[in-house]
Amino acid sequence: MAHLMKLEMKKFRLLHNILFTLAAVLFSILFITVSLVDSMTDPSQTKDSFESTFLVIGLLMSFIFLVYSSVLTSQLVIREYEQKTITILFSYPLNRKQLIISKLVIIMAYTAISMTVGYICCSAYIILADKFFNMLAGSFKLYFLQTWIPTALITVAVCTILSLWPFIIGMIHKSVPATIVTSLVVIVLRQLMITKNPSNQESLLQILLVALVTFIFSFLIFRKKVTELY
Amino acid sequence: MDYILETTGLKKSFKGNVAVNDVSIHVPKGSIYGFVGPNGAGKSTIMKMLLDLVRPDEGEVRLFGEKVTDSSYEIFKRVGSIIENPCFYEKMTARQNLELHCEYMGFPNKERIDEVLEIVGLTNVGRKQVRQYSLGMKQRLAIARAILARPEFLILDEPINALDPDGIREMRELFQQLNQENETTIFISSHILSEVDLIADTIGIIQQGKLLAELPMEEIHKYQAEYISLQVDDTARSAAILEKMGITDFQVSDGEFIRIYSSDISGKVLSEALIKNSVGLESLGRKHDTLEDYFFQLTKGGK
Repeated sequence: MAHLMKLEMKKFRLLHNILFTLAAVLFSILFITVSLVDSMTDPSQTKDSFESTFLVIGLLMSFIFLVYSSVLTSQLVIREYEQKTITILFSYPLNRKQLIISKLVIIMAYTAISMTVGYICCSAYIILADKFFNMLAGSFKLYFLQTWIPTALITVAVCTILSLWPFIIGMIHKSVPATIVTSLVVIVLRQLMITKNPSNQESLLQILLVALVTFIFSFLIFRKKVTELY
Repeated sequence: MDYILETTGLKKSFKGNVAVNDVSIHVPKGSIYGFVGPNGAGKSTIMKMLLDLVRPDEGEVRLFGEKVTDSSYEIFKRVGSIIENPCFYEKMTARQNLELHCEYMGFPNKERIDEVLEIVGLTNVGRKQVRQYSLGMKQRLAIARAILARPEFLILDEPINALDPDGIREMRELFQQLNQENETTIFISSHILSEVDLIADTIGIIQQGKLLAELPMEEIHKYQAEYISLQVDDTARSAAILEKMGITDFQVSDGEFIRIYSSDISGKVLSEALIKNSVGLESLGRKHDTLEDYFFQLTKGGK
Protein backbone atom coordinates (compact mmCIF):
# COMPACT_ATOMS: atom_id res chain seq x y z
CA MET A 1 0.00 0.00 0.00
CA ALA A 2 2.83 2.41 0.89
CA HIS A 3 4.45 1.50 -2.41
CA LEU A 4 1.23 2.23 -4.28
CA MET A 5 0.86 5.60 -2.55
CA LYS A 6 4.42 6.47 -3.48
CA LEU A 7 3.61 5.68 -7.10
CA GLU A 8 0.43 7.71 -7.07
CA MET A 9 2.20 10.65 -5.44
CA LYS A 10 4.27 10.92 -8.63
CA LYS A 11 1.11 11.91 -10.47
CA PHE A 12 -0.18 14.09 -7.61
CA ARG A 13 1.83 17.24 -8.53
CA LEU A 14 2.58 18.00 -4.88
CA LEU A 15 4.15 21.41 -5.45
CA HIS A 16 1.18 22.54 -7.52
CA ASN A 17 -1.19 21.49 -4.73
CA ILE A 18 0.88 23.12 -1.97
CA LEU A 19 0.72 26.34 -3.98
CA PHE A 20 -3.04 25.96 -4.22
CA THR A 21 -3.29 25.55 -0.42
CA LEU A 22 -1.25 28.72 0.11
CA ALA A 23 -3.37 30.63 -2.38
CA ALA A 24 -6.56 29.36 -0.70
CA VAL A 25 -5.32 30.44 2.73
CA LEU A 26 -4.35 33.88 1.40
CA PHE A 27 -7.75 34.21 -0.23
CA SER A 28 -9.47 33.30 3.05
CA ILE A 29 -7.37 35.85 4.96
CA LEU A 30 -8.26 38.49 2.38
CA PHE A 31 -11.94 37.56 2.62
CA ILE A 32 -11.89 37.81 6.43
CA THR A 33 -9.98 41.09 6.28
CA VAL A 34 -12.53 42.67 3.95
CA SER A 35 -15.33 41.56 6.25
CA LEU A 36 -13.53 42.81 9.41
CA VAL A 37 -12.55 46.15 7.87
CA ASP A 38 -16.09 46.63 6.62
CA SER A 39 -17.60 46.09 10.07
CA MET A 40 -14.91 48.31 11.66
CA THR A 41 -15.37 51.27 9.33
CA ASP A 42 -19.13 51.18 8.88
CA PRO A 43 -20.62 53.02 11.90
CA SER A 44 -23.96 51.23 11.44
CA GLN A 45 -22.29 47.85 12.09
CA THR A 46 -20.78 46.42 15.21
CA LYS A 47 -17.40 44.72 15.13
CA ASP A 48 -17.37 41.02 14.39
CA SER A 49 -16.86 38.73 17.35
CA PHE A 50 -14.15 36.10 17.61
CA GLU A 51 -16.85 33.44 17.68
CA SER A 52 -18.56 34.52 14.46
CA THR A 53 -15.24 35.08 12.66
CA PHE A 54 -14.08 31.61 13.65
CA LEU A 55 -17.33 30.21 12.22
CA VAL A 56 -16.60 32.02 8.94
CA ILE A 57 -13.13 30.46 8.88
CA GLY A 58 -14.73 27.02 9.29
CA LEU A 59 -17.15 27.72 6.43
CA LEU A 60 -14.39 28.94 4.14
CA MET A 61 -12.14 25.97 4.90
CA SER A 62 -14.83 23.37 4.36
CA PHE A 63 -16.13 25.04 1.18
CA ILE A 64 -12.75 25.57 -0.48
CA PHE A 65 -11.18 22.25 0.38
CA LEU A 66 -14.25 20.08 -0.19
CA VAL A 67 -14.65 21.54 -3.68
CA TYR A 68 -10.91 21.14 -4.27
CA SER A 69 -11.01 17.53 -3.08
CA SER A 70 -13.59 16.88 -5.80
CA VAL A 71 -11.25 18.46 -8.35
CA LEU A 72 -8.49 16.13 -7.14
CA THR A 73 -10.84 13.14 -7.28
CA SER A 74 -11.63 14.03 -10.88
CA GLN A 75 -7.96 14.39 -11.76
CA LEU A 76 -6.64 11.33 -9.97
CA VAL A 77 -9.51 8.88 -10.27
CA ILE A 78 -12.37 9.76 -12.62
CA ARG A 79 -10.18 11.00 -15.48
CA GLU A 80 -8.20 7.77 -15.42
CA TYR A 81 -11.47 6.03 -16.31
CA GLU A 82 -12.58 8.72 -18.76
CA GLN A 83 -9.28 8.74 -20.65
CA LYS A 84 -8.89 4.95 -20.40
CA THR A 85 -5.47 5.19 -18.73
CA ILE A 86 -7.08 3.00 -16.08
CA THR A 87 -6.82 0.08 -18.53
CA ILE A 88 -3.04 0.54 -18.41
CA LEU A 89 -3.01 0.76 -14.61
CA PHE A 90 -5.17 -2.34 -14.33
CA SER A 91 -2.76 -4.27 -16.58
CA TYR A 92 -0.01 -3.90 -13.98
CA PRO A 93 0.82 -6.50 -11.35
CA LEU A 94 -1.03 -4.51 -8.69
CA ASN A 95 -4.12 -4.95 -6.57
CA ARG A 96 -6.66 -2.77 -8.37
CA LYS A 97 -8.78 -1.88 -5.37
CA GLN A 98 -5.74 -0.96 -3.32
CA LEU A 99 -4.59 1.22 -6.18
CA ILE A 100 -7.81 3.26 -6.05
CA ILE A 101 -7.75 3.28 -2.23
CA SER A 102 -4.23 4.72 -2.30
CA LYS A 103 -5.45 7.53 -4.55
CA LEU A 104 -8.32 8.28 -2.16
CA VAL A 105 -6.04 8.20 0.88
CA ILE A 106 -3.81 10.80 -0.79
CA ILE A 107 -6.82 13.03 -1.54
CA MET A 108 -8.21 12.65 2.00
CA ALA A 109 -4.82 13.28 3.60
CA TYR A 110 -4.30 16.36 1.45
CA THR A 111 -7.77 17.66 2.38
CA ALA A 112 -7.19 17.08 6.10
CA ILE A 113 -3.71 18.62 6.15
CA SER A 114 -4.67 21.63 4.03
CA MET A 115 -7.75 22.36 6.14
CA THR A 116 -5.70 22.11 9.34
CA VAL A 117 -3.04 24.44 7.94
CA GLY A 118 -5.80 26.80 6.78
CA TYR A 119 -7.47 26.80 10.20
CA ILE A 120 -4.17 27.49 11.97
CA CYS A 121 -3.15 30.31 9.62
CA CYS A 122 -6.55 32.04 9.56
CA SER A 123 -7.06 31.73 13.33
CA ALA A 124 -3.56 33.07 13.99
CA TYR A 125 -4.32 35.90 11.58
CA ILE A 126 -7.48 37.05 13.40
CA ILE A 127 -5.69 36.84 16.77
CA LEU A 128 -2.81 38.99 15.45
CA ALA A 129 -5.13 41.35 13.53
CA ASP A 130 -7.02 42.03 16.75
CA LYS A 131 -3.87 42.36 18.81
CA PHE A 132 -2.28 44.96 16.52
CA PHE A 133 -5.29 46.68 14.90
CA ASN A 134 -8.10 45.89 17.32
CA MET A 135 -10.24 44.60 14.47
CA LEU A 136 -12.57 42.33 16.44
CA ALA A 137 -14.95 42.87 19.33
CA GLY A 138 -13.36 41.98 22.68
CA SER A 139 -9.95 40.42 22.94
CA PHE A 140 -8.61 36.93 22.42
CA LYS A 141 -8.60 34.70 25.50
CA LEU A 142 -6.62 31.50 25.68
CA TYR A 143 -9.68 29.53 26.76
CA PHE A 144 -11.22 30.21 23.30
CA LEU A 145 -8.92 27.44 22.12
CA GLN A 146 -10.84 24.95 24.27
CA THR A 147 -13.75 25.39 21.85
CA TRP A 148 -11.80 26.22 18.70
CA ILE A 149 -9.51 23.19 18.65
CA PRO A 150 -12.26 20.54 19.01
CA THR A 151 -14.48 22.46 16.58
CA ALA A 152 -11.69 22.62 14.01
CA LEU A 153 -10.80 18.96 14.50
CA ILE A 154 -14.42 17.87 14.05
CA THR A 155 -14.83 20.01 10.91
CA VAL A 156 -11.59 18.64 9.45
CA ALA A 157 -12.62 15.05 10.25
CA VAL A 158 -16.14 15.43 8.85
CA CYS A 159 -14.92 17.15 5.67
CA THR A 160 -12.27 14.47 5.15
CA ILE A 161 -14.98 11.81 5.34
CA LEU A 162 -17.31 13.85 3.12
CA SER A 163 -14.55 14.22 0.53
CA LEU A 164 -15.38 10.61 -0.42
CA TRP A 165 -18.81 11.57 -1.75
CA PRO A 166 -17.58 13.16 -4.99
CA PHE A 167 -15.82 9.81 -5.61
CA ILE A 168 -18.95 7.79 -4.76
CA ILE A 169 -21.28 9.72 -7.05
CA GLY A 170 -18.67 10.44 -9.73
CA MET A 171 -17.84 6.76 -10.10
CA ILE A 172 -21.42 5.75 -10.92
CA HIS A 173 -21.10 7.06 -14.49
CA LYS A 174 -17.38 7.92 -14.29
CA SER A 175 -18.35 11.57 -14.76
CA VAL A 176 -16.24 14.62 -13.90
CA PRO A 177 -19.20 17.07 -13.75
CA ALA A 178 -21.06 14.73 -11.38
CA THR A 179 -17.95 14.59 -9.19
CA ILE A 180 -17.64 18.37 -8.88
CA VAL A 181 -21.37 19.03 -8.45
CA THR A 182 -21.53 16.43 -5.68
CA SER A 183 -19.05 18.42 -3.59
CA LEU A 184 -21.35 21.48 -3.77
CA VAL A 185 -24.40 19.41 -2.86
CA VAL A 186 -22.52 17.88 0.08
CA ILE A 187 -21.61 21.34 1.40
CA VAL A 188 -25.23 22.49 1.24
CA LEU A 189 -26.49 19.30 2.94
CA ARG A 190 -23.89 19.64 5.69
CA GLN A 191 -24.95 23.23 6.31
CA LEU A 192 -28.59 22.17 6.52
CA MET A 193 -27.63 19.52 9.07
CA ILE A 194 -25.44 21.63 11.35
CA THR A 195 -27.49 24.84 11.42
CA LYS A 196 -30.16 22.88 13.30
CA ASN A 197 -27.65 22.16 16.08
CA PRO A 198 -27.17 24.79 18.81
CA SER A 199 -23.37 24.47 18.58
CA ASN A 200 -23.37 24.84 14.77
CA GLN A 201 -21.41 21.62 14.72
CA GLU A 202 -22.17 17.98 14.11
CA SER A 203 -23.07 15.94 17.16
CA LEU A 204 -21.07 12.77 17.81
CA LEU A 205 -24.02 10.67 16.67
CA GLN A 206 -24.28 12.61 13.43
CA ILE A 207 -20.54 12.19 12.78
CA LEU A 208 -20.77 8.45 13.31
CA LEU A 209 -23.85 8.24 11.09
CA VAL A 210 -22.21 10.23 8.29
CA ALA A 211 -19.08 8.07 8.54
CA LEU A 212 -21.11 4.86 8.48
CA VAL A 213 -23.24 5.84 5.48
CA THR A 214 -20.16 7.11 3.60
CA PHE A 215 -18.22 3.92 4.17
CA ILE A 216 -21.17 1.70 3.21
CA PHE A 217 -21.59 3.54 -0.09
CA SER A 218 -17.83 3.57 -0.71
CA PHE A 219 -17.80 -0.18 -0.15
CA LEU A 220 -20.64 -0.66 -2.65
CA ILE A 221 -18.83 1.47 -5.24
CA PHE A 222 -15.67 -0.59 -4.73
CA ARG A 223 -17.62 -3.79 -5.22
CA LYS A 224 -19.60 -2.70 -8.27
CA LYS A 225 -17.86 0.12 -10.04
CA VAL A 226 -14.12 0.25 -9.44
CA THR A 227 -13.21 -2.76 -11.57
CA GLU A 228 -16.04 -2.27 -14.06
CA LEU A 229 -14.46 -0.71 -17.15
CA TYR A 230 -16.80 -1.42 -20.04
CA MET B 1 1.44 -29.11 -25.12
CA ASP B 2 2.72 -26.22 -23.05
CA TYR B 3 0.28 -23.33 -23.40
CA ILE B 4 1.07 -19.79 -22.28
CA LEU B 5 -2.54 -18.80 -22.74
CA GLU B 6 -5.56 -21.04 -22.64
CA THR B 7 -9.19 -20.01 -22.51
CA THR B 8 -12.10 -22.38 -22.08
CA GLY B 9 -15.66 -21.65 -23.12
CA LEU B 10 -15.50 -17.87 -22.81
CA LYS B 11 -18.90 -16.22 -23.08
CA LYS B 12 -19.86 -12.58 -22.78
CA SER B 13 -23.04 -10.66 -23.56
CA PHE B 14 -23.55 -6.91 -23.46
CA LYS B 15 -27.17 -5.90 -22.84
CA GLY B 16 -28.46 -9.17 -24.29
CA ASN B 17 -26.20 -9.10 -27.36
CA VAL B 18 -23.81 -12.01 -27.45
CA ALA B 19 -20.31 -10.62 -28.08
CA VAL B 20 -18.28 -13.74 -27.33
CA ASN B 21 -19.70 -17.23 -27.60
CA ASP B 22 -17.91 -20.30 -26.27
CA VAL B 23 -14.39 -19.31 -27.27
CA SER B 24 -11.54 -21.65 -26.39
CA ILE B 25 -8.11 -20.41 -27.43
CA HIS B 26 -4.81 -22.21 -27.07
CA VAL B 27 -1.59 -20.25 -27.49
CA PRO B 28 1.47 -22.53 -27.45
CA LYS B 29 4.62 -21.35 -25.73
CA GLY B 30 6.99 -19.62 -28.13
CA SER B 31 4.39 -19.13 -30.86
CA ILE B 32 3.15 -16.05 -32.68
CA TYR B 33 -0.60 -16.48 -32.60
CA GLY B 34 -2.53 -14.42 -35.15
CA PHE B 35 -6.04 -13.65 -34.01
CA VAL B 36 -8.07 -12.54 -37.00
CA GLY B 37 -11.63 -11.60 -37.67
CA PRO B 38 -13.74 -8.79 -39.07
CA ASN B 39 -14.44 -5.62 -37.09
CA GLY B 40 -16.88 -6.28 -34.28
CA ALA B 41 -16.15 -10.03 -34.24
CA GLY B 42 -15.24 -9.91 -30.54
CA LYS B 43 -11.43 -9.78 -30.79
CA SER B 44 -10.97 -6.78 -28.50
CA THR B 45 -13.47 -8.08 -25.95
CA ILE B 46 -11.55 -11.35 -25.71
CA MET B 47 -8.23 -9.53 -25.41
CA LYS B 48 -9.66 -7.46 -22.56
CA MET B 49 -10.76 -10.68 -20.87
CA LEU B 50 -7.18 -11.97 -21.01
CA LEU B 51 -6.13 -9.03 -18.83
CA ASP B 52 -9.22 -9.26 -16.63
CA LEU B 53 -10.41 -5.86 -17.88
CA VAL B 54 -13.70 -7.49 -18.88
CA ARG B 55 -15.08 -10.29 -16.76
CA PRO B 56 -16.48 -13.25 -18.79
CA ASP B 57 -20.04 -14.35 -18.05
CA GLU B 58 -18.86 -17.94 -18.37
CA GLY B 59 -15.58 -19.73 -18.92
CA GLU B 60 -12.08 -19.00 -17.74
CA VAL B 61 -8.74 -17.62 -18.82
CA ARG B 62 -5.45 -19.24 -17.85
CA LEU B 63 -2.18 -17.39 -18.23
CA PHE B 64 1.01 -19.35 -17.57
CA GLY B 65 -1.25 -22.10 -16.26
CA GLU B 66 -2.77 -19.86 -13.61
CA LYS B 67 -6.44 -18.91 -13.64
CA VAL B 68 -6.93 -15.15 -14.11
CA THR B 69 -8.92 -13.78 -11.18
CA ASP B 70 -9.08 -10.64 -9.01
CA SER B 71 -6.13 -11.82 -6.97
CA SER B 72 -3.91 -13.24 -9.72
CA TYR B 73 -2.52 -9.85 -10.75
CA GLU B 74 1.09 -10.92 -10.08
CA ILE B 75 1.12 -12.81 -13.41
CA PHE B 76 0.80 -9.49 -15.24
CA LYS B 77 4.44 -8.92 -14.38
CA ARG B 78 5.23 -11.35 -17.21
CA VAL B 79 2.81 -9.78 -19.70
CA GLY B 80 3.16 -6.77 -22.00
CA SER B 81 0.07 -5.45 -23.73
CA ILE B 82 -1.57 -3.01 -26.06
CA ILE B 83 -5.34 -2.89 -25.75
CA GLU B 84 -7.46 -0.74 -28.08
CA ASN B 85 -6.13 2.72 -28.89
CA PRO B 86 -2.85 3.60 -27.22
CA CYS B 87 -3.45 5.78 -24.14
CA PHE B 88 -0.90 7.65 -22.09
CA TYR B 89 -0.61 10.46 -19.58
CA GLU B 90 -0.76 13.08 -22.30
CA LYS B 91 0.93 15.87 -20.36
CA MET B 92 3.94 13.72 -19.59
CA THR B 93 6.77 13.06 -22.04
CA ALA B 94 7.31 9.66 -23.61
CA ARG B 95 10.22 9.09 -21.25
CA GLN B 96 8.14 10.00 -18.16
CA ASN B 97 5.38 7.66 -19.29
CA LEU B 98 7.89 4.84 -19.69
CA GLU B 99 9.53 5.63 -16.34
CA LEU B 100 6.13 5.40 -14.68
CA HIS B 101 5.54 2.09 -16.47
CA CYS B 102 8.83 0.75 -15.05
CA GLU B 103 7.75 1.78 -11.54
CA TYR B 104 4.34 0.16 -11.81
CA MET B 105 5.77 -3.01 -13.34
CA GLY B 106 8.45 -3.18 -10.67
CA PHE B 107 11.07 -3.20 -13.43
CA PRO B 108 14.26 -1.61 -12.11
CA ASN B 109 16.33 -1.27 -15.29
CA LYS B 110 15.64 2.31 -16.44
CA GLU B 111 18.40 2.11 -19.07
CA ARG B 112 16.06 -0.10 -21.02
CA ILE B 113 13.94 3.03 -21.73
CA ASP B 114 16.57 4.44 -24.11
CA GLU B 115 16.86 1.03 -25.69
CA VAL B 116 13.14 0.67 -26.46
CA LEU B 117 12.80 4.28 -27.61
CA GLU B 118 15.56 3.55 -30.09
CA ILE B 119 13.99 0.26 -31.17
CA VAL B 120 10.70 1.98 -32.07
CA GLY B 121 12.42 5.02 -33.58
CA LEU B 122 11.37 7.64 -31.02
CA THR B 123 14.81 8.57 -29.64
CA ASN B 124 14.65 12.18 -30.75
CA VAL B 125 11.14 12.87 -29.51
CA GLY B 126 11.35 11.12 -26.13
CA ARG B 127 11.30 14.48 -24.33
CA LYS B 128 8.22 15.77 -26.13
CA GLN B 129 4.82 15.71 -24.39
CA VAL B 130 2.76 12.77 -25.65
CA ARG B 131 -0.17 15.04 -26.52
CA GLN B 132 1.96 16.44 -29.35
CA TYR B 133 2.44 13.00 -30.88
CA SER B 134 0.75 11.77 -34.04
CA LEU B 135 -1.33 8.59 -33.81
CA GLY B 136 1.47 6.64 -35.49
CA MET B 137 4.00 7.89 -32.92
CA LYS B 138 1.65 6.96 -30.09
CA GLN B 139 1.33 3.49 -31.56
CA ARG B 140 5.13 3.17 -31.62
CA LEU B 141 5.30 4.38 -28.03
CA ALA B 142 2.64 1.86 -27.03
CA ILE B 143 4.77 -0.89 -28.57
CA ALA B 144 7.82 0.46 -26.71
CA ARG B 145 5.86 0.33 -23.45
CA ALA B 146 4.57 -3.17 -24.13
CA ILE B 147 8.05 -4.62 -24.70
CA LEU B 148 9.85 -2.47 -22.09
CA ALA B 149 9.83 -4.85 -19.13
CA ARG B 150 10.93 -7.80 -21.29
CA PRO B 151 7.62 -9.68 -21.01
CA GLU B 152 7.40 -13.39 -21.72
CA PHE B 153 4.00 -12.91 -23.30
CA LEU B 154 2.86 -10.03 -25.48
CA ILE B 155 -0.83 -9.27 -26.05
CA LEU B 156 -1.10 -6.92 -29.01
CA ASP B 157 -4.50 -5.65 -30.11
CA GLU B 158 -4.17 -4.24 -33.62
CA PRO B 159 -0.61 -3.01 -32.98
CA ILE B 160 0.06 -1.89 -36.55
CA ASN B 161 -2.97 0.38 -36.81
CA ALA B 162 -1.97 3.88 -37.89
CA LEU B 163 1.59 2.84 -38.80
CA ASP B 164 3.02 3.69 -42.23
CA PRO B 165 4.28 0.85 -44.48
CA ASP B 166 7.85 1.31 -43.23
CA GLY B 167 6.63 1.21 -39.64
CA ILE B 168 4.60 -1.93 -40.29
CA ARG B 169 7.67 -3.70 -41.68
CA GLU B 170 9.89 -2.52 -38.81
CA MET B 171 7.39 -3.71 -36.20
CA ARG B 172 6.95 -7.04 -37.97
CA GLU B 173 10.69 -7.56 -37.85
CA LEU B 174 10.74 -6.48 -34.20
CA PHE B 175 8.04 -8.99 -33.22
CA GLN B 176 9.80 -11.76 -35.12
CA GLN B 177 13.10 -10.88 -33.46
CA LEU B 178 11.51 -10.87 -29.99
CA ASN B 179 9.92 -14.22 -30.74
CA GLN B 180 13.09 -15.84 -32.07
CA GLU B 181 15.76 -14.31 -29.84
CA ASN B 182 13.91 -13.80 -26.54
CA GLU B 183 11.36 -16.59 -27.04
CA THR B 184 8.56 -14.13 -26.39
CA THR B 185 5.16 -15.64 -27.09
CA ILE B 186 3.00 -13.19 -29.02
CA PHE B 187 -0.77 -13.01 -29.30
CA ILE B 188 -1.54 -10.50 -32.02
CA SER B 189 -4.89 -9.44 -33.39
CA SER B 190 -5.29 -7.74 -36.70
CA HIS B 191 -7.76 -7.37 -39.49
CA ILE B 192 -4.87 -6.96 -41.98
CA LEU B 193 -4.69 -10.60 -43.03
CA SER B 194 -1.63 -10.28 -45.28
CA GLU B 195 0.34 -9.02 -42.27
CA VAL B 196 -0.78 -11.89 -40.03
CA ASP B 197 0.03 -14.30 -42.87
CA LEU B 198 3.61 -13.02 -42.82
CA ILE B 199 4.17 -13.18 -39.10
CA ALA B 200 1.99 -15.78 -37.39
CA ASP B 201 2.69 -19.47 -36.97
CA THR B 202 -0.70 -20.24 -35.42
CA ILE B 203 -4.03 -18.77 -36.40
CA GLY B 204 -7.36 -18.29 -34.68
CA ILE B 205 -10.25 -17.06 -36.80
CA ILE B 206 -13.21 -15.46 -35.10
CA GLN B 207 -16.50 -14.28 -36.49
CA GLN B 208 -19.59 -13.02 -34.67
CA GLY B 209 -18.08 -13.99 -31.34
CA LYS B 210 -17.34 -17.60 -32.35
CA LEU B 211 -13.94 -19.13 -32.94
CA LEU B 212 -14.33 -20.74 -36.36
CA ALA B 213 -10.91 -22.30 -36.59
CA GLU B 214 -7.66 -22.56 -34.70
CA LEU B 215 -4.74 -24.22 -36.43
CA PRO B 216 -1.04 -23.93 -37.25
CA MET B 217 -0.20 -21.91 -40.36
CA GLU B 218 1.49 -25.03 -41.79
CA GLU B 219 -1.90 -26.70 -41.86
CA ILE B 220 -3.39 -23.81 -43.77
CA HIS B 221 -0.54 -23.86 -46.24
CA LYS B 222 -0.80 -27.62 -46.60
CA TYR B 223 -4.53 -27.40 -47.15
CA GLN B 224 -4.15 -24.63 -49.66
CA ALA B 225 -2.87 -26.32 -52.76
CA GLU B 226 -0.88 -24.50 -55.35
CA TYR B 227 -2.92 -23.56 -58.40
CA ILE B 228 -2.52 -22.08 -61.87
CA SER B 229 -4.33 -18.82 -62.31
CA LEU B 230 -5.54 -17.96 -65.81
CA GLN B 231 -6.94 -14.62 -66.86
CA VAL B 232 -8.92 -15.03 -70.07
CA ASP B 233 -11.45 -13.09 -72.14
CA ASP B 234 -13.92 -15.99 -72.43
CA THR B 235 -14.23 -18.21 -69.37
CA ALA B 236 -17.00 -20.41 -70.79
CA ARG B 237 -14.97 -21.34 -73.85
CA SER B 238 -11.86 -21.81 -71.78
CA ALA B 239 -13.72 -24.13 -69.41
CA ALA B 240 -14.86 -26.24 -72.36
CA ILE B 241 -11.30 -26.45 -73.67
CA LEU B 242 -9.99 -27.47 -70.25
CA GLU B 243 -12.59 -30.21 -69.98
CA LYS B 244 -11.66 -31.43 -73.44
CA MET B 245 -8.06 -31.65 -72.21
CA GLY B 246 -9.25 -33.85 -69.34
CA ILE B 247 -8.84 -31.16 -66.65
CA THR B 248 -11.74 -31.16 -64.22
CA ASP B 249 -10.32 -29.71 -61.02
CA PHE B 250 -10.78 -26.04 -61.82
CA GLN B 251 -12.90 -23.15 -60.70
CA VAL B 252 -14.10 -19.99 -62.45
CA SER B 253 -14.09 -16.80 -60.42
CA ASP B 254 -14.70 -13.08 -60.91
CA GLY B 255 -15.82 -13.51 -64.55
CA GLU B 256 -12.35 -13.62 -66.10
CA PHE B 257 -10.24 -15.80 -63.79
CA ILE B 258 -9.89 -19.57 -63.76
CA ARG B 259 -8.04 -21.50 -61.07
CA ILE B 260 -6.71 -24.92 -62.02
CA TYR B 261 -5.79 -27.05 -59.03
CA SER B 262 -4.06 -29.88 -60.96
CA SER B 263 -0.41 -29.12 -60.42
CA ASP B 264 0.95 -31.53 -63.04
CA ILE B 265 -0.16 -29.50 -66.05
CA SER B 266 2.41 -27.32 -67.72
CA GLY B 267 1.65 -23.67 -68.35
CA LYS B 268 3.07 -23.95 -71.83
CA VAL B 269 0.60 -26.69 -72.84
CA LEU B 270 -2.27 -24.69 -71.37
CA SER B 271 -1.40 -21.46 -73.12
CA GLU B 272 -0.89 -23.20 -76.44
CA ALA B 273 -4.29 -24.93 -76.19
CA LEU B 274 -6.10 -21.70 -75.32
CA ILE B 275 -4.43 -19.58 -77.98
CA LYS B 276 -4.98 -22.26 -80.63
CA ASN B 277 -8.70 -22.07 -79.82
CA SER B 278 -8.67 -18.26 -80.14
CA VAL B 279 -9.09 -17.52 -76.42
CA GLY B 280 -7.50 -14.23 -75.39
CA LEU B 281 -5.00 -15.05 -72.61
CA GLU B 282 -4.19 -12.00 -70.45
CA SER B 283 -2.08 -13.72 -67.81
CA LEU B 284 -1.01 -17.10 -66.53
CA GLY B 285 0.86 -17.91 -63.34
CA ARG B 286 1.34 -20.35 -60.49
CA LYS B 287 -0.02 -19.13 -57.15
CA HIS B 288 -0.63 -20.17 -53.56
CA ASP B 289 -3.88 -19.53 -51.71
CA THR B 290 -3.25 -16.88 -49.03
CA LEU B 291 -4.59 -16.66 -45.51
CA GLU B 292 -7.08 -14.22 -46.98
CA ASP B 293 -8.46 -16.92 -49.28
CA TYR B 294 -8.72 -19.34 -46.39
CA PHE B 295 -10.37 -16.70 -44.24
CA PHE B 296 -13.01 -15.92 -46.83
CA GLN B 297 -13.67 -19.58 -47.53
CA LEU B 298 -14.28 -20.06 -43.84
CA THR B 299 -16.24 -16.93 -43.03
CA LYS B 300 -18.33 -16.93 -46.20
CA GLY B 301 -19.20 -20.61 -45.92
CA GLY B 302 -16.82 -22.29 -48.36
CA LYS B 303 -15.95 -22.03 -52.06
